[in-house]
Amino acid sequence: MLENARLSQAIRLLQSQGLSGLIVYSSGSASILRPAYFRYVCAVRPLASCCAAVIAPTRSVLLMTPEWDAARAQSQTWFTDVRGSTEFSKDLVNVMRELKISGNVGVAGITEMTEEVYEAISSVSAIVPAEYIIEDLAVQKTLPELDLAREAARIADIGFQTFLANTRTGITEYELAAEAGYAMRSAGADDIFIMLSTEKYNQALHSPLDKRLAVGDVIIFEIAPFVEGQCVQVCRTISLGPPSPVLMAKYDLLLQAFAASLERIKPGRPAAEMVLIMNEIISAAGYAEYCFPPHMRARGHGFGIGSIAPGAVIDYNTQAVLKPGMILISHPNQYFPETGYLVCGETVLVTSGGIERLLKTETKLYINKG
Amino acid sequence: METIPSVIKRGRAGWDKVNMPATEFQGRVGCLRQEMVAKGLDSLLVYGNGVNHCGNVCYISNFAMDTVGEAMVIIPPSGEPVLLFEGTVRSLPTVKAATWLSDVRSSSDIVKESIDYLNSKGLLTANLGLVNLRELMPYSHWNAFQAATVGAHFTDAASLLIELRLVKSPREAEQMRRSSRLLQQVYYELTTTSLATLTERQIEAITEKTAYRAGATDFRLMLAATDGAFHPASNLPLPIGVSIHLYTAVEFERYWTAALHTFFVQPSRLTLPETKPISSLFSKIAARLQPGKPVSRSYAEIAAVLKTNGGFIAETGLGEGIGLELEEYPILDYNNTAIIKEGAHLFLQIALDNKKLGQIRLGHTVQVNSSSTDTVA
Repeated sequence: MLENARLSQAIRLLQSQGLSGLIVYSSGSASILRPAYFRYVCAVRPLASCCAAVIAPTRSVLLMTPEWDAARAQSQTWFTDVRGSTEFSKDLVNVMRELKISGNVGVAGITEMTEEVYEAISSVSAIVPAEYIIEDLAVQKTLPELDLAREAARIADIGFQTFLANTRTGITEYELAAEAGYAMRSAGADDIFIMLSTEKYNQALHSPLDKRLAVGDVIIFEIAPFVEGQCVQVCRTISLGPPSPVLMAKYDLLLQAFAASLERIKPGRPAAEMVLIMNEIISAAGYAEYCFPPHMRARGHGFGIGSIAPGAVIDYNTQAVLKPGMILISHPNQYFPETGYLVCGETVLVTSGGIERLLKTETKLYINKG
Repeated sequence: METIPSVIKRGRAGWDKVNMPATEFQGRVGCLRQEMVAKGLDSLLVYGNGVNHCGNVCYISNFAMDTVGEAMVIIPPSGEPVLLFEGTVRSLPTVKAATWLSDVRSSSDIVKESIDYLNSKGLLTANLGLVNLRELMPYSHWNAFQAATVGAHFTDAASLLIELRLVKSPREAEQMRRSSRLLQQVYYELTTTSLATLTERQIEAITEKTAYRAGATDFRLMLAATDGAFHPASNLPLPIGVSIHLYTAVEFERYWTAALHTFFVQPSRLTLPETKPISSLFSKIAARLQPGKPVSRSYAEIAAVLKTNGGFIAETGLGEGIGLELEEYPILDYNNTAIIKEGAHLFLQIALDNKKLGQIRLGHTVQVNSSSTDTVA
């Protein structure tokens, strides 16, 4: 969350840019691949509606909908002035006027804004995109944030072990996801991401279906538990029954690419380097044309609540330079014509010397007897 | 009630085509086409996004987003509608399995895809009925859409979908009863399971596992101490001897039902208090939701009944419609002049102060019938 020192830094940044204030907006939506600016700033996870943190140099107001949610927000945030709103756009304009916001105003969360909210702010001030202010503050995780990420990693390991233990003939995809979800919830996850596929030849990850697992299935899944907004993901593949030689060979290729990518994750180096080595290894095995969408989505991405730097997609073009304190996943998830889509990867912390692997469980091809 | 959705729906994403066949959706498109003709619309564009605002898209296509992202259905003057969704080509087989429509297109840019489609049909300068584009689209997308359709005439057509969705068809009502059975399982599990650790998180873990194992697509839970604000589950322990309000909602194959109860926290378990006084009061107020009556009149009558019986309308309101979304029309508010219709499904909630038991809440999903209001969940 935004601590006092960082808030002061944000206000200095605002003033140096000639901005009369900062509005951090949320529509309540949450994604693993988007920063949660509002939550980062005020430490409140929004309900599914309009919310805004309005920060001026001398005063700040938190505006919540629905009106009754102000009490919850008040108990969680450092904002002392928390207000419930019944007419959000109108109330936001009134708060801006009250806080003497005029001229240029920095706004974070513009991509979530509808016309009504955008026009309301514009009626008072000229909107200046200001996501960068929060990104700059949040790009390197603080020690408390790293503790939360490590806790999320502990829970991800539990989720994975539960997946592994329950991968058996006859269980449905949705039952398997329910077991893993229960294990992670019980361990303290406040949100959970699960996608999987359990065919003999998988095309893509998806939400759990009625499909019952059978010997010969290749179970691919991504799980990501959250702890107070910090998230750690793990991508694993389990063979139900003995894997075919071709499955083992292709998975070995992914493991080689994954291991090599970890060696390229160093502070001061472009994030693209981890992708280039993965693509080099997979291409050398004859799959150059499969190193691009739609055969894969991304070779990795960042995680965080105020910043997901180095970005939602790390590919060969990613210009961002790695910094200590960034958390990212390397996943050479890949479609092969012989095996279908396979997943392999885990989340690491960029340290001054390279990386810290956050998960305790090993990334490899797991085999269950069925 | 407003709730916090998970970052992704992680329950069963099934579609039983026996219970909800393609003919059901074709009938809906037929109704919409009649209205389109009556209003002189050449095409209808129906937009939705995220897990909470995709009801209209789902009503026509049976497709609903399971996480953030945009979707749109376009009904052309003739021929089958098209479904556009934000996603990759590799997601197409999964999305196609979730809809009766055969023309399904993935895109990273819904606006561009919709413009390309309208252009291919010669509809860029047509009279376009818009449903929720202006209200829900990110501003930059809405701007881009407007810029690309400068020759078109826009008509706000949201009322077409609102009117149709106000009344649930027999098949929809059955889906909601299936959803309610899952909710009943959740409550049964909650009141019969011995809990090793009594924390809000453990309550959440047990209830959602029960729902997901039984086939729920999505699950929501909010709690409140009797004197506190509703909030999502935390890691905090539940003190023995206190009461908590528990709002739970289950989605089964697109359809939601919800319920609200007050529990007593006892060592290793939650128990329901004697509910006769509030159940009896609930029946009285539910009977005021009669077809043909304006919502505002029912609201006033209910408020009066509550007042004379020691009850009240809580801060979270009297309720709202429920179905494809947790919060639908009509909102049960004092100034809503919409007419309650037979077949409407509503989440209705009340509060009651009781000297012995403290504050108690009760909420059910109810179905408005011609001469009665039935509790669904």
